[in-house]
Amino acid sequence: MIYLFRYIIGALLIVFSQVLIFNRIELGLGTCIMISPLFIMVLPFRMNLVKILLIAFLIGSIIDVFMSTYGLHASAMVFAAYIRPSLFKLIAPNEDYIRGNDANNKYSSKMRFFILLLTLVLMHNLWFFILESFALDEFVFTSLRILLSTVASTTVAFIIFLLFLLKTNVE
Amino acid sequence: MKDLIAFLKKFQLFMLFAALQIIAIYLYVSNYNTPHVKFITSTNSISGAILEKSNELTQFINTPLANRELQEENQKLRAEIDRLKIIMDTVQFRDTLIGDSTLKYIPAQVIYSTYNKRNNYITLNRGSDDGIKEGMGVFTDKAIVGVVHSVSKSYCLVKSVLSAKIYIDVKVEKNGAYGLLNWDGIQPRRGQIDGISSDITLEKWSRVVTRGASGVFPEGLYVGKISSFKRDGAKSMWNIDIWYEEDFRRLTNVYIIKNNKKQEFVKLDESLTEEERQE
Repeated sequence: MIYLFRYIIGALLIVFSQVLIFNRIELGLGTCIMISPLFIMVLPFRMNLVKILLIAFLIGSIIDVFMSTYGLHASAMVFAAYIRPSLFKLIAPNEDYIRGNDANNKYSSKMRFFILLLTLVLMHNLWFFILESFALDEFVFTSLRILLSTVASTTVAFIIFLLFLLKTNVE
Repeated sequence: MKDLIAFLKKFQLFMLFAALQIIAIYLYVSNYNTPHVKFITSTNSISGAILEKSNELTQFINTPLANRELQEENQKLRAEIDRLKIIMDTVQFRDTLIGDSTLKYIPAQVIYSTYNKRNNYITLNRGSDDGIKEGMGVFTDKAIVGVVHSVSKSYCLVKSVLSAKIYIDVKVEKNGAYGLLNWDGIQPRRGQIDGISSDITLEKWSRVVTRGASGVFPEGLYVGKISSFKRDGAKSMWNIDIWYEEDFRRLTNVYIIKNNKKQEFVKLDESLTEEERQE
């Protein structure tokens, strides 16, 4: 129960910091800081994918409502949620490292989390920006935006993870 | 039957994924140009209220600049009044049209805006209660801002000029060559004009104003200045960049144009095209 409460608060914090803080930071060249995939990353490792998909859709839709982007964020979040289990399988099979279980090797656990986060954010951004631009003639510009946004988003999301989430997970 | 159930079980996750994607992408595509579903934008009462509260918390940052800009505008308008007064003194006439003005300007405040998306929207604190309707033009003293996209009771959503294919009709003030406004998504201070033929001579830093052909904006509202132009290789058109004097990232006070004769204008326009078709 307390976990559920914690996740609801976490989701609200992610949505509002995305809408009210990170969308107001301008880095130029259409770069966006998108920290919403971080929430999909920190959901419990063995959580049912149906639940994850529905949660991702809900969070994406709330961001959409605030930013008047209709279904754009929801679509990208659902895509990120759908590929999450495959990513886990690919990069770190049979590991519950997000909860910090391998306590004797914290450094590599953080490193793996970073690689997973980077891949997930990249996938999310690929889907998001291609759907947003909806045009092939802007291919170069869209690729640049994906690249820059992925670097910016992953950096910010990883800092948030180190500052606020890692500790509570280890406890 | 058993096989079918087994098949469905195997693919149930993918089907849920596909269903959610179809809902999201359908909403996105169907609302891209004309809004059909109103409650899922920032103009609904809950998100509108939250954004307005957050704007109240942060707007003090922009207040000094906004005040200075309003003062400058006041000064300009005062000078204009003085100039007109002198003209009115020398030319005595009674204009029957004065008092029945076509255009009405409604002041509004920006409560939320984006500028790093491919298509950007601005939420204003005026809605249908203040007489706002879809398709009205929005501008500031320095540039046009966009066109009202959807309206709720007390908020409205403006599609800003920082959008692909916004297509507001503009013209170069000096020679009257006209084209359509567009945005390539790269710089929020730089827009493009499509459709000016390359046999027309242009000058750098010449003023671009609205053409006023669609009834959204009156003629002659300032848009920006031509910052560069080159020939488009394949087509015989200019690739024109224009520089916006308004920084759309720091918008605070805007005006919405209410054109009382827009209905008449639209009717006239429609009848014209019908006649042309018959010919």
